[in-house]
Amino acid sequence: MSKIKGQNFKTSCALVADETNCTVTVQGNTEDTTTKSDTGLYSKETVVSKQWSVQTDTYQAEPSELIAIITAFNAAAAISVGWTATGSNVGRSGQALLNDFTMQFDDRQTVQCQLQFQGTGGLS
Amino acid sequence: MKKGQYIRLLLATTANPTTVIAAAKTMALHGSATTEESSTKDTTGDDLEYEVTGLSYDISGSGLVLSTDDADNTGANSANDVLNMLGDTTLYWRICLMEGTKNRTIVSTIASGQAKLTQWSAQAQNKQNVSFNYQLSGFGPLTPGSAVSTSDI
Repeated sequence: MSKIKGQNFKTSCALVADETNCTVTVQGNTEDTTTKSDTGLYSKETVVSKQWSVQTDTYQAEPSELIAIITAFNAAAAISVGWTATGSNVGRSGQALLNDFTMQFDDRQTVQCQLQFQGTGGLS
Repeated sequence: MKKGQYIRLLLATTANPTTVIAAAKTMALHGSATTEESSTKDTTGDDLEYEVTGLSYDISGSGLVLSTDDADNTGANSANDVLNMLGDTTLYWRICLMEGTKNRTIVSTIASGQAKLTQWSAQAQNKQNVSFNYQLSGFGPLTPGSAVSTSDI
């Protein structure tokens, strides 16, 4: 068992070839199911649904990738998004919508691009 | 992107703009999709499903404020030119991959569309260059780029 370095944890989508940083979030949405019959002050949470999202940053976006991102944004359709970690079993994949992007074009800097995906449906 | 190539915003009140912003420093294109949860009782499992119900985008950027004469000499939109665009006027923009310095050449278009200039601000701090910021609110579709004929501007 060993620690996973950030560079070995990668997200994947068809829009950008490589990334610099990423964040994956999987969330269980809960509801308090406490009733008047429950004693005490504590809530009794039940997971009623699940959702996930992926955010990825790249610091070396190419013009062809930028065009692909805009095309995917306009399509408003789910694409395959996932993540893997070398030497571990934490990888997952699913369908996701591109729901936010920022392309940053600054003087004397590489083109930076941030993508945010909202998962739709489950992970496998 | 080859060495010597760069990306600029071209902005004008007429279609197919060829005018860059003078002394530009930063620029960003930001797209946002409104999503709505689309799961129903017919959806099996507890994983939520979503669909896109709306799209919007904006462009923001900054540059240095030059004197009008200096800006005009570059054939570019000065800070004052940009300020004059603020309002309900439909502006045409495109983000292009370019090369060259004195004679800028469009290599390809990355994105284009129409927008309205909704914000302009200037910052004048003691012993610093005066800078300005602008914001364009996207108007209609965001069109991905396609190869365009190379032209000098």
